[in-house]
Amino acid sequence: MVFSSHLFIFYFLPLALLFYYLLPRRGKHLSLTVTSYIFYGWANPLFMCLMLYSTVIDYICGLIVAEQQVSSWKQPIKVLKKGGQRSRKQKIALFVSIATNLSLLGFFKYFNFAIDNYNAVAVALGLESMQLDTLFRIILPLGISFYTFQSMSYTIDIYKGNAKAIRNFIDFACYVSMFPQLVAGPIIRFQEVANQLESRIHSFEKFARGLTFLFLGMGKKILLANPCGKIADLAFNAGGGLDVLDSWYGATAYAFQIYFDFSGYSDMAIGLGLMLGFVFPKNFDSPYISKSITEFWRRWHLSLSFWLRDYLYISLGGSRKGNARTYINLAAVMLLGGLWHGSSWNFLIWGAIHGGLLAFERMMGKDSIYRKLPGALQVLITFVLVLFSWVFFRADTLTDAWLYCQNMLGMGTTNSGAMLINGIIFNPYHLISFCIAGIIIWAMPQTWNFTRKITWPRLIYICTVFVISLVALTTQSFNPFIYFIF
Amino acid sequence: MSENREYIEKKKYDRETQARIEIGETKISPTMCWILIIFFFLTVFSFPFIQGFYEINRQYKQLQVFTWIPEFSNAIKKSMQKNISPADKMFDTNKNLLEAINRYETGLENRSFLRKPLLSSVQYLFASWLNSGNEKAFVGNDGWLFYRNGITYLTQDGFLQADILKTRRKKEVDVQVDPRIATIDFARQLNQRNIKLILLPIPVKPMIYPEKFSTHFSLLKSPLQNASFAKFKTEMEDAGITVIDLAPIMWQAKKSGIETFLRTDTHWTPAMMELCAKSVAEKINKNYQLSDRKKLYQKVPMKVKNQGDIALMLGIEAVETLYPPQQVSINKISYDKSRWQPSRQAEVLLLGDSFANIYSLPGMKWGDSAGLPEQLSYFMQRDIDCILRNDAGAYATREILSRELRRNRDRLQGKKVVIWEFAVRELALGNWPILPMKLEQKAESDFFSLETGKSIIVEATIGEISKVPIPGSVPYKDHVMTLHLLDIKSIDGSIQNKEALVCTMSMKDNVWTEAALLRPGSRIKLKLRCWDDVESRYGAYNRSELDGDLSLETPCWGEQFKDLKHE
Repeated sequence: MVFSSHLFIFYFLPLALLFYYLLPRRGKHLSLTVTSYIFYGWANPLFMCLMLYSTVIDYICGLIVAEQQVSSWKQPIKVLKKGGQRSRKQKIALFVSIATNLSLLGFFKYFNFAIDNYNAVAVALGLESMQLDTLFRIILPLGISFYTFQSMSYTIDIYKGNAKAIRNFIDFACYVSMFPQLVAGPIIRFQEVANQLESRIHSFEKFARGLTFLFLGMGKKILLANPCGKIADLAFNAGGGLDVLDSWYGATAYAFQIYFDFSGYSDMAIGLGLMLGFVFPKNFDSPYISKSITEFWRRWHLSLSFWLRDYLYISLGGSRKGNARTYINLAAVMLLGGLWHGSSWNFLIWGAIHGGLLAFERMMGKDSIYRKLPGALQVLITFVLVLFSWVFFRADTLTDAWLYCQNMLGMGTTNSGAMLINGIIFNPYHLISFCIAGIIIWAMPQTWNFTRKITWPRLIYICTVFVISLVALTTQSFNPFIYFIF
Repeated sequence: MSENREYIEKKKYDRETQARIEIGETKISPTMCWILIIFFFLTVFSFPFIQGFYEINRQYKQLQVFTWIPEFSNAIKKSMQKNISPADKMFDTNKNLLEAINRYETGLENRSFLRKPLLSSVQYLFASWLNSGNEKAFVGNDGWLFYRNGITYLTQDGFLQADILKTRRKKEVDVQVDPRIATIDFARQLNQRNIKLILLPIPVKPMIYPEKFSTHFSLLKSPLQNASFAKFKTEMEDAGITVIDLAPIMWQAKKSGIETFLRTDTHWTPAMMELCAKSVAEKINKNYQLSDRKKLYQKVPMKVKNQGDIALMLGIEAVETLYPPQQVSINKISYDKSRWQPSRQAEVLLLGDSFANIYSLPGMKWGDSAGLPEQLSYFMQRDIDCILRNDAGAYATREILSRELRRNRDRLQGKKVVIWEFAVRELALGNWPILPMKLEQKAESDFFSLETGKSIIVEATIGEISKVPIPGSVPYKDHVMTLHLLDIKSIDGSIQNKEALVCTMSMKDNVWTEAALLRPGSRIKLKLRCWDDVESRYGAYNRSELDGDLSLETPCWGEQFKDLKHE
């Protein structure tokens, strides 16, 4: 089920809110867990078992790490001492939790990739008979990358002494499965919502601010991401035959699509969270106004950036082990970040580009060539670098990405048939949507700032966006969510 | 407040605290707060109630929102009845549930009281002001419309390129993507019976009229073509298969002032179709040794006027105000003052899709007896046999032929030439399975069937139903579905406990019929007729089949359906 769907808006959401608010405090988490499992199972009922499995393992491991025993069941659970000694049992429990989640992620996400690459190597070595049966394909469970990271953060946070374990299974299941951010984030670390799971405030102001997030998020997704997505799809599906202008237009449209798609979804998730009393942190902060790649990663998909920083980069030593090791750590984290997005060489290269640029900027420090340029030029250069990396992220294969980059640099060959897409991508509807998207990206405040103070004009604007989004939702059939596949 | 923000950022609070402070800072007056909440409740919470009243007012048999109950229970029941292992049962239930979920969600969207009026008016604004169509129909210049797949055929790289084939294989798991393998195999099987195969790929509109879609092409000197077509043609000719490329003929015709395609339709004009039929007939007469069994066919000119299929795909109610219907001159073919009929004894068999059906199949509303089969007959002055089916030219007609042979009905007997017509876009987008063309002995069957000219009213339970497309989601507007009926009892009691395969219309003019709303397990009453009596009328419509051996049973035709639960 996606947020921008008829079923979700008109049936699921009213029912979920109704149950949530009608039930007493003790029943709210149960209601939220049940509705979240229905939400998740709607994509594939069997996926519910997988999520339940991951939840049960982490719940038990969490209790073991927190040294919770049956004999002391009624005593309050304490936060472990930061940096303190951990027993063998605690270490094993942490290992089991991490290994289970990574195994799930590894199997479901990378099995097909591994088989494809094994077969490619077998063919390259002339061992065709050694190829594995490729008819057997693993279906990627929706949002597995998000909830395994989230669930895993629970045991790690307890182990590190950053959070207290939960005794109530329903509370924990509610944290893992919470439908607002279940399938496409933001990744909520346990320490971020631990207190809110115990108690949180429900107020009309909070609910109203949540609505503004929801309405604007829907607008971003339906009114901007979808038309930009159509341009991008047509451009990237045209093979290697585009001219320079069309290919830049297509790549920029993709950059707009992925931003509005993902940040729109995050806004909706934050809004729905607020409507249920939860406060989730910011996930996007106008990333395309960044003046460097380093700044870009402080503004793009913050929940992933911080997760990778806190659980991976720092664990690898961060910047504490000298310059060379810092560069290696940066590159390694970004490579893994790329692989987290999907199992293909394209994502790996996307991660490598960002890792390389982050390391380069770190190495250059304040002497970086483009840091001496005027601000607007720095933004432009950063955007162009991000744009080339998006080509690898979007293209179906490595060859396609390479051909697309060649077209952008005017080094490709044009195919007269591919020129036909001009007739669609430059029609008034797509051009207007593209221009509005650009204006919102570079000239408008992001959602958090825009909704901080609700004035009458803003209220009318927000409600109008919602009504137009509902009209478009009822009439559009093109409605993909990019981050659902990660 | 800005000072407060700087303070928050300077203090470097963690992200959760920053967010909580931020939300605590929300400035919204109580009035505005209430307006927002009431607005949300009015738009979102009231919708299911209005929808309910709308459905009750329209006297729908069941409120759509509650259809998940029978849908899901049927999905589970269907798997539980199967004699398979528990693990397989679990996966089968999951598969059935997923299908039920999709049906339920699509049903909710389609029955929404907002959908039809909004879809029509929004699409009208998009088409007229923003030059924008929808997922299937693209708006061109000067009132021309284009079908998406026709454009895709040209914009994508060569359909025989290894990486394109590989990508398709990955994305379309159950689809045979390489057209060469199935075509060569089909020709080989025909050759074994001394029958020659002629391929007739019909060009798509943007190949001939790219300038009506994009201004880049005003000076084009030859038709556009997919990069792999030349290679495909060469490989087929090397394998002894004749390929008639109509693109140069169409291009010449366009240059000489003939409009070769309908402006708001996927298909060719009658003038172009006749020119192509003449060219094909000349090639056959010249290159193949056919008998002297000639027949004097005549033609009668007349005019027909209709709305194009792409215009209808836009879903605009008063589409004629934006795209007026087009009038064309057709030539109806007759023999001895009677309507043209295909002949099973003919030496030429035409396998064709909607390019062959247009001007021939009355349901397409572009006239009848004036399509490709009739024109081929006229220009050759001889009988021809045909198997026609709208859409999926890559396999649909071959599949029908294969099934006929497996049912021991030898449609290839006495044939010398098979013309296989399909839209050229199928080469890049179609499914090309290898199909056996072997005459088999008819297996014993307990399935109920009727003799020619007979009909009977029966009661039956629905066992299985083939997939029914959602109106507007497919390029065609009429569709035939297949049902597996169990426990058939005739009203007079002469027939008891029989089962039958039944075909019936599920969609007419983009509207579901009563039969399309039936579900497995329902007890129904209907009239059955012999399939042979209706085949010429309904056989050419796009049809969904049931899986497995059921598809080999001879169907009956069903009509006048009544759900006994609601009678």
